[in-house]
Amino acid sequence: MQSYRLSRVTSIYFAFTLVALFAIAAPAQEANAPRPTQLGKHRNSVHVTLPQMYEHAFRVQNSSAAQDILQSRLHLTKGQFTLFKSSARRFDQTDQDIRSLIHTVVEADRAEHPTTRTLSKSARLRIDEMIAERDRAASEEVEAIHLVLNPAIASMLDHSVATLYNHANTTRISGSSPLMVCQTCLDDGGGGGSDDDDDDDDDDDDDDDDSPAPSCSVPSSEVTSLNSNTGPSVGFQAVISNSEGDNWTGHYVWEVDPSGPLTNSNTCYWAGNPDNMPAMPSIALVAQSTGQSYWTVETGNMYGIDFVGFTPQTLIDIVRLHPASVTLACTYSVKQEMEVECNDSMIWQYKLNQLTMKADVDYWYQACRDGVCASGTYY
Amino acid sequence: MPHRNRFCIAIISVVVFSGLCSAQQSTGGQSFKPRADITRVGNSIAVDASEPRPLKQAAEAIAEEHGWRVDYEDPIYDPMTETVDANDASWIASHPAEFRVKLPSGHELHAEFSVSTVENFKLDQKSTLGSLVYASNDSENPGKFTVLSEADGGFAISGITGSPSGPVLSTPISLPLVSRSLHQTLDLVFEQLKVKTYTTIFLSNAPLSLLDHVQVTVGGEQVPARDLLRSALNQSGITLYWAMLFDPTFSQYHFNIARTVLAYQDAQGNRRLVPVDRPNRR
Repeated sequence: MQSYRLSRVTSIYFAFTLVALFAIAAPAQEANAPRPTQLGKHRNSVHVTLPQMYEHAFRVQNSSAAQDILQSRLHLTKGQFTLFKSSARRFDQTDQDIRSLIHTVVEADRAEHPTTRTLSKSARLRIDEMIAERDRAASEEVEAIHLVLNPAIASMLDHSVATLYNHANTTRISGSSPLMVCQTCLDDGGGGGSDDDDDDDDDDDDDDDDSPAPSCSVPSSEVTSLNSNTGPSVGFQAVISNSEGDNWTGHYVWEVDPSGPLTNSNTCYWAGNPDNMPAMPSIALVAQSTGQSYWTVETGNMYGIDFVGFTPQTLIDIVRLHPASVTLACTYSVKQEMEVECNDSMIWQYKLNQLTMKADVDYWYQACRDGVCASGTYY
Repeated sequence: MPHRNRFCIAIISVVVFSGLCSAQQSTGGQSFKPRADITRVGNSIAVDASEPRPLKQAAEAIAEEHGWRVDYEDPIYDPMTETVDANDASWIASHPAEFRVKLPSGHELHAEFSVSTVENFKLDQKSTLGSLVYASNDSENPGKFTVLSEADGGFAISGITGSPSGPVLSTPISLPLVSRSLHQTLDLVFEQLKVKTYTTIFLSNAPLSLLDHVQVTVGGEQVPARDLLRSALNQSGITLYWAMLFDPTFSQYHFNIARTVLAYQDAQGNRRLVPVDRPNRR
C-alpha cells in the first residue's frame, strides 16, 4: 500500500512566481483577508504562518521579472522597500540552499530505495527539518523588518503580505477573463461562429459583437472560487450571473473544447508514459480523466465541483519517471469552453476558462481554473 | 452526392489532417508521433504508428475514428530485451548517478488491410483490431498480443507474453457479490490479482471522483478479472475504457481509465473529439 505524505504549501517554486506576478496586478483587496490554511503533515488543515506568507512575498520579489513592482503593492516608501528587498535577498540564499538540499535528499533516497515509489520515513523527516529551517530563516527576516519599521507600518505590511499570499493562492487573477464567445444552437438557429479575441472589456457588458442574441436568458459572467485542495487534485466551484439577476437552478452546464484550432499544450508529456497522458490535451480528454463533463446548477447559481489536477499516481510518475526531454516544472494546459443549457433547444457558450496543472520536483503541484490557483506538495 | 465520393473526400481530409498534426516527440533519442496516421485509398486502409507502444497508438487512432471502446492491456515486457532507457546515451553518460527510467522498446508499426466496404470496416471491429495485432506480432516491436472478446460484446487487445499464465486480467478471481464504490471494487480486484499473480497494479490516470461516488454490484466465483472490471465500469453509466500499461522501470502495471471518444472534423477542418456518450454535442 502506498503511503503518501503531504507537506507544506509553502514549497512554491519558480513556476508559481510567474502566476503570482499576475496576482500583483490584481486590484488590492484591503478588506480583512481570511487567514489562509494549508495541508499539514497529516492532511489536516493548518493555518499558514505569517513568516510563511512572507516567504511567498520574498520569492515574488526575488523572481527576475518582479523588479520593484511590489513596492506599491505593499504600500512601502522607497526606504522601507529597500529594507524589504534586503530581507528578500538574504532569504533567497537560504531558500536556494534548502531547495538544493531537499533535491539531494530526494535523489539519494531514490538511489537507496530504487524500487520504492515513495520517500522513506527518514528522508521525509530530514525534509521536514529543512523546511522548518527555511521557516526559521523567514521568521528571522520578519523580525528584522519589524524591528526597524514603525509598528503601524509593520502591521500594514503584514496585512499587505497576507493579501498578496491570498491573491496568489485562492483568488481570481484579473486580466484572464475572456468575453462570451459564441453560441451554438441545437435548432440550427445560427451562430456557431467563434470570437476568441482577447478584448479587455469586462465580460459583464451586453453583446457588442455580431453574434445573434440568445432567445433565452444566459449568464454573462462566471466567477470561480476554490472549493478544496486535497492535493494534487483541486476542487473549484463557480457562480454564474447576469445583470438581470436570472436564476439557472436545475439547468445543466457543460464543458467543451472551444471552436477553432486547439491551442492546448502538455509539457509533462513523453512518448510511452505509463499514465496514458495525451500529447495534445483537449477538454474531451480532460472529460475522460474527470469522468464528468457537466454539472447541474444549484441554488445561488452555483455549480461544481470541477476537479482540476493530476491524480496522485500521475504526479508521482511525472516527477519520478520523466525522461530528460521533460523539464520540470511542467504544465498541462487546456482551454475550457463553458456552455449553459438555457432552454430545451439552445446551448449558449458563455465563458472561456483556462485550466492549468503544474508539476515540479519534490511532488509540488498547482492547479488553476480561470486564474484561481491552489498549490501544495504531495508525497 | 454518391456515397463513394463522400468516402473519398473523407480519405483525403483524414490524411491531410493527420499530417498536420504529426509533430514529432522525442524520447530516449528517438522521435515519435503524438498520434497514429490513418490513410485510406480505395478499399485499402493503412495505419502508421510511432510510439514505444505502437499497437496501442494504432488501436487508439482507429477506435477514435469510429467511437469504439477498446480496452488495452500491455504484456509484461522483458527488462533485458524489450525495454530501452527513456533517456539517450549521451544524457545517461553525463548523469551516471541519475535514476534509469525505462520504456518499452517499441517504435514504428505499419499495418495495412483491405475492406470490402466502408461499412464493413466500421462494423467489423474484431477483424480490424485483429489486423493491427497481426501486424504488431509480425513486427520487431516488443510483446505479443491477441484480441479478446469481452463478456458484454466489446473487445480488448491483450498482451500474452511475459506472464507464464497468460494475460494478467485473464486470471480467475473471486469477489463477493455486494455493492461497493467503483474505486473499492477496482482496489479489491487489484489486491486479488496481486495475491494470485504477484503483479502490482496501480490505479493511475482515472476519474477518481467518479470512481469514489458510483456504487456498483460486482462479484462471482473464479471469474476472469477482466470480466469483473468490465462489469464494474459498465455500471458507471459512462462509456469508459481502460489502458493497463506496464511500467518497466518498476515492473508494475498502471491501470488508466478514460472516456471513449469519437473523432470528427469541424467545419474548419480541425480534428475534434467528443465523448461517445453525447455525440450530438458537436
